[in-house]
Amino acid sequence: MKKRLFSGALLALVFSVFTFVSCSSDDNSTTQEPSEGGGEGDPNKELVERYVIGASASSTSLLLTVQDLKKGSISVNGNGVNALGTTVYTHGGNRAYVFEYRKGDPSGSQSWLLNDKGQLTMNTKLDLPTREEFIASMGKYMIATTGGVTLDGEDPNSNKAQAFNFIDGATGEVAFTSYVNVQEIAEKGEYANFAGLETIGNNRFVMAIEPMKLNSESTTSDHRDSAWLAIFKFNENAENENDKVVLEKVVKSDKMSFAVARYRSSRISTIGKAGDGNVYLFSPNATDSKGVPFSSKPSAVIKFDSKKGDFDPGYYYDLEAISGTKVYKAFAIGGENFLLNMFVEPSNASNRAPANKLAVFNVITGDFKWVEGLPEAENIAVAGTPFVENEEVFIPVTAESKSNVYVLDPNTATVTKGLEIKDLGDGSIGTIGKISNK
Amino acid sequence: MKKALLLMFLFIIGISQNVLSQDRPIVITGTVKDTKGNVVDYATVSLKGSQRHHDLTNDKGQYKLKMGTPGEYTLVVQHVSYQTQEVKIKATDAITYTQDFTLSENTSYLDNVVLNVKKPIDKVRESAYNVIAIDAKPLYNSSLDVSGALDRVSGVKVRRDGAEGSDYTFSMNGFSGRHIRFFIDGVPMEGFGSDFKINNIPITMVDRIEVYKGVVPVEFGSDALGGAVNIITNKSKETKIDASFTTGSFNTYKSHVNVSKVFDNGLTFQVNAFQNYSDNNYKVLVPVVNLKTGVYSKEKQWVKRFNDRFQNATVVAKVGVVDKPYADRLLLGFTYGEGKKGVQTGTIMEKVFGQKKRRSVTVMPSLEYSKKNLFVEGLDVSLTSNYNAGYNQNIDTSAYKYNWAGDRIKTFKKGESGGGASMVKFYDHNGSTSLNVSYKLNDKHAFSANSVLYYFNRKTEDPLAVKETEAEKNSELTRRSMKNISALSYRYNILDNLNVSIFGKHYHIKHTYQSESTSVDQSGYGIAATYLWNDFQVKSSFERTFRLPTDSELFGDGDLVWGNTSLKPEQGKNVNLNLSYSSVIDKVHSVFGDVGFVYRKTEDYIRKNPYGSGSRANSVNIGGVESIGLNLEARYIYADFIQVGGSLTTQNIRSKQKYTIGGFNVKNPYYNERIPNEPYFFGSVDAGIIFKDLGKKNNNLNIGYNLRYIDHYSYDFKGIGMNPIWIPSQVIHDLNASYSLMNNSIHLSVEANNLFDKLAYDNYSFQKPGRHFMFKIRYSY
Repeated sequence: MKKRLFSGALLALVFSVFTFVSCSSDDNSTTQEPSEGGGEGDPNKELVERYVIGASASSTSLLLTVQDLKKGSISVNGNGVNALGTTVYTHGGNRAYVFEYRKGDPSGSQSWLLNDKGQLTMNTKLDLPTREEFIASMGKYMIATTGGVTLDGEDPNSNKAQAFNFIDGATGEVAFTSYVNVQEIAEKGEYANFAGLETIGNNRFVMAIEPMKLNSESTTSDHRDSAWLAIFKFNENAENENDKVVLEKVVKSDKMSFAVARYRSSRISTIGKAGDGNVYLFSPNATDSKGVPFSSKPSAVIKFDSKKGDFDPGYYYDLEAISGTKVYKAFAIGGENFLLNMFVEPSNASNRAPANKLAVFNVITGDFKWVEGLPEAENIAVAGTPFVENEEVFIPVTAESKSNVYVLDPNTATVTKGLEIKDLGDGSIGTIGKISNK
Repeated sequence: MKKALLLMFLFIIGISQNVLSQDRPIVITGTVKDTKGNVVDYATVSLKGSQRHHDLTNDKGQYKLKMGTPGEYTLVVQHVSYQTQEVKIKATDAITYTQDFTLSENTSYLDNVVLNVKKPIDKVRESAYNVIAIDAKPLYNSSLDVSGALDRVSGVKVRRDGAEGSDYTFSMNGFSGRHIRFFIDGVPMEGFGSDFKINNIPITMVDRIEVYKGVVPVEFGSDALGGAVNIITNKSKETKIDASFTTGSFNTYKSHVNVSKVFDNGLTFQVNAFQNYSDNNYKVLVPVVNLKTGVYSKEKQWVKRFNDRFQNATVVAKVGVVDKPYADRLLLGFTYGEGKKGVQTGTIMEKVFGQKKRRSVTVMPSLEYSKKNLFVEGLDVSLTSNYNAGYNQNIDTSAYKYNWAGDRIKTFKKGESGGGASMVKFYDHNGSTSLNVSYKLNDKHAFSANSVLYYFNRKTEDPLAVKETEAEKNSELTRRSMKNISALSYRYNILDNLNVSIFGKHYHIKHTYQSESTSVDQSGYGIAATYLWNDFQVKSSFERTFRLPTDSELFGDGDLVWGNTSLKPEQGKNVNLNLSYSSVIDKVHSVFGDVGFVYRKTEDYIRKNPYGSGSRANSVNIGGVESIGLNLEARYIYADFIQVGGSLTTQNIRSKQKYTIGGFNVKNPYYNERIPNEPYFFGSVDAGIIFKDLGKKNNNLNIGYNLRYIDHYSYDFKGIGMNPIWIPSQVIHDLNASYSLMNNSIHLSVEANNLFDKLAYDNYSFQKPGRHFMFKIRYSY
C-alpha cells in the first residue's frame, strides 16, 4: 500500500513535469504559429478536453472525439475526421499524432489540435523519409524512430543504423534526425533491431534489442539466451545532428531471451516503465512456425533499474511457469501493474500466431491474474494499447465484430464494457489518447 | 535464351523450305467494281458448292482464292447492294488467274447508302451474347492505344493513373481485376508480359475488339466472372504495309510498323513492331513538401512530373503458311519486348518518388493453327499455344528523398518506398494452350468444344531484400499452378432469325506450393438466345460462372498469411438482356441503337478474415455484390458525311455482404450500400464529319469530337466519417482532325485532348494530363 502511494505520487510528479515542459514550449511557439487551435495559449478560455479514438472502417482511417469512455456509443457514420492512421499518440496534453505504417509508401504523419468546440483540426501533415516504428513523447519532442537505415545511404557497405526523427511536438515539424550505428553494439558479428522506447529521465531513454546476424543468408542470432537494453543519451546541444543521440551503453542479462516481439515484419514493444520509474523487460521467447522456441530460456520478465543504469540481478519471474504460456505484448498500466497480451498456446507462439489472452501482472509482487470479462481470445481481432488515466485503464478491443472500450480494474483484473464504436463493419478500433484545447 | 532463338530460327527455315518444295496452288484473283468503276468492298466471292473457298473483297475491291486441284470452277460474287453474279473459270495450271467482276446495283439501294453487309463486326453484333465490337479502323488515325478505344464502350471504364504507359484498371459493369479476362486473337493474355498490354498495344495493330459483357462464349475458356475482351489483330491476306508515327506534348513519340506478306505458295510472314516513349512530364497541382521539416505546403502548386518517363519497344513476328490443305493458318510467332517506366508516385499522389523504376522483359514464343472444314465439311479446329519467359523488375535503390519540386535530400537508407531497397525480379513463367473444335452439322445444329490449359510458375528474386522473418525468407520459393477450363456448347438455329446456344464449363485448378498441393473443381453452365425481327434484335443470355481461388488465397505465404485450402471459388450469376435496332431510313439515314440490361450477382467473395490468426481460416468466402445496370448506345450516320454517337452507363452496384466476417451474426452496416470507388454514371459522346474530295479527288478530311463524362463518386462507403472523400464529376473534351491524301495512303492527323485544360482524375488524387496535343502521320499500302 505504501509502495503504491509512493509510485502514484511519483507518477503525478512526472506528469506535472511533463505538463510544465510542454506548456512552456507552447508558450514559445504561439508567436510563430497561426492560432488555428482557436486562440490556443489563451489562459482565460474555457478548457475543452476530448478523448481521441482511432478507428478504421472499410478503407478509411478515422479519429473520433468523445467525452466519456465508460458508457454510450458513437458511430463512424457521419463522425470522425479522415486521418493517416488509427494509433493515437499525444504530446503535451494538446496535440494528437498519428503515424502511417505502410510498406509500399514512404510514411506520413499528422498532428491534430482540438478547437474550442471540441473538434479536431489538422495542425501539420508530414511526409517522412522512413517508416516509423516507435513513437514516444520526450520533452518538447516527439521521437519517431526506425531501423533499416545505414550510416551512409549511398555506400551499401556502410554500417546499419537506427534513425531518430525528432519532431517538434508543438509545430509538428521535423526538427532534426540523428543516425546511430547498430552494428556490433551488443554482440560481435551481429546487429541490433530496436523495439520499445521508454524515457528514464536525465535526458536518457532506453530501447530493447532484437539481435540479428549480419550475414544476410541467415539472420537468426547465435545469442539466443540473452536480453539486452540499449541506453541512449539525448544531447540537444550537440552541434552535429548525429551526435544529439548517443548510444551510451548496452546492458545485458543472461536470465532470459531478448525482449522484442514480431507482428509480420514489424517489431512490437515488450518493455514498459512502471510507476517506480524502472523499466521491465518481457521476453516472449517466441517459436517458429513449427513450434520450436527460439531460446532454451522461458518467457520471462526482468527489471532494469533506471537509477543504477543496469539490470537488477535479483529480479526475475518465469512467466511461462506462472501462466502456462508466453508473452506476446506488454504494457505498463500505471503503478506496479502491467497488462500482458499472451499467446493462446505456448507451442504456437510464432509470428501472427493466436494471442490476445490478456492478463494483469504485478511486477513487484509477481501476482498474475487472467483478465475476466472479455470475449474468448480467438474471437478478439484487436486488443490494442491500453490508455491510462488517473489509475483507470481503458483497453480498446474489437471482438466478435464489435468494437468497444473496455474499462479494466487492475486490482481485480476484471473488465466492464464501456463506450461502443459502431458501424465499423469489418474494421477495427485503434488506440485512445486525450487532448485539450489549451 | 540465344539457343532457343537459334532453334526457333532453324525451325522456321525448315518449315518454309518444306512449304516451298510443295506444288504451287492455283490462284484466282481479281477486283470487284460497280458499273461506275468504284471498288466494291465486303463482297463475298465464293466457289459454288463449297464452303471451303471464299473470300471477302478488301477496301480496294480485291479478292484471292486458292485451289488445290485444277478443274472448272464457278465463282459466285454476292453483295447485298448489288445483283449476284456467277462466272465460270477453267483453271488447269498452277498459275494465277485474274477474274474481275463488274456488279450492277440492286435497284432497291442507292450507292451512297451505308451498306448493310455482314462484316465481321456485324456478325459479332448478331451473336446471342452481350457483345460489343469496336471497329478499330476508324480509330487508326488517332493516337489511341487499345485501352483508349475500350474506354468508349458502354458499361466499360478504363481508369488510368496518368498518361502514356500508366497503370490502369479496367472495369466492366462493376467487375474488374481478376474478374475480367483479356484475350488476343482468342489467346489468353493472362501470362503476357508488361510489354504487350492494352495500355501499349497500338490501335493500328488491331482489326477490332470484342467486348463480352458478363456471359462469355466457350471459345474463351476462362474463369471470368465479369466478362472478357478479345482483341483481334490485323490478319491481312495481302501484302500490306502500315506505318505510323505519333508525336506530341510531353515529348511523346510513338511508332508502329506492320508489314505482312503472303506469297502465292501460301508462305506468309507478319511483323508488328511498335515503340512508345514519353516523358509524361505534364503539370500537376499538388502540395510540395519542405524536405527539411517534412511539412506539406498548405497551398498547392503547379509542378511538372519528373520521374514518369515511359519507354517500351515490342516486336511481334509471325512466320508460317496460310490456305494450305492441312491448315488455313499455321504460324509460329515470337514476341520480344522491353520496357522501362519511372514510378513517380506511391498509392496516392502526395507520395513522390524521384528514381524508383520498373523494368520488364517479355520473351514469348507462340504457335497458332487453324483449319476450317478439316476432314469433313463443317469441322473447324484451332489450336494456340504461348509461353512467356520474361520478367518484371522493381528498381528502388535511391538513397534520397524527393519532393514534388524535384528537390532531394539524403535519407541514409536505400529505397524510396517504405519497404526498403529493392531490385526484386518477378519471373512469371506463364503459358497457355487452347484447343477449339467446332462442328457445324448443318444449318440448324452446331457443336463446339474448347479446352484451355494454363500453367503458372512464379519465382521472385531480390538480391537486396533483408530477410529477417520466415515470410521474407519464404518469399523466393517457387509456386506452381495448373488450371484447366473445358467447355462444350451446342447451338440450335431454330428458325432463320432465332437461335439458342447452351453451354457447360468445367473449371479445374491445381496449385503446388512447397510440398503441398491442392485442387479445386467446379462446373458452370449458361444459355444464350437471340431473335431478329425486322430491324430489331433481342438478345438474352445467362451464365453461372466461377472465379477460382489463387494460390496465395489457398496457401498463404507460408508464414504470415495463412491459407485456407477449403476455400470455394467465387461464383457469379450473369444475366443480360439487349434490344437493338439498326436501320437505314430513306437510304441516307443510318440509325443504330442498343439498350442493354445487365444483372450480376456475385457470391462467396474471398476476403481476409480479421480473426484469422485464431483458430479460424485466414481467408473466407463471404458476401458478394449485386449489380444492376443499364447500358445505352446510339449512333446516327448521315450518308458518308456526318456521324454522331454515344454511350451512357448507369449502374447500381451494391454490397450484399449481410454479416460481418467472423460468423458472429453481426449485421454488416454497409450491406446494400453502393460499392465504393466505383463510378456509377458515365458516358461519352462522339461526333464526326467527313469532307470528301477536299482539295483533290479522294483526299478526305475527317473532323472528330469526343466528350467523356463521369459523375462524381465516393471513395469509400457512404456515410463513413464527417468529410468523406469524393472523386468529382468531370467532363473532358477532345478534338481531332485527320486528312487523308494520295488515295488514302497517307494520313495526317492532329489531336487536342482535354481541350479545356480541366483537372482530370480517374482514381482518387491521381491527376491526368491537362490540355495536350498529338500529331500523327500514317502510311498504309
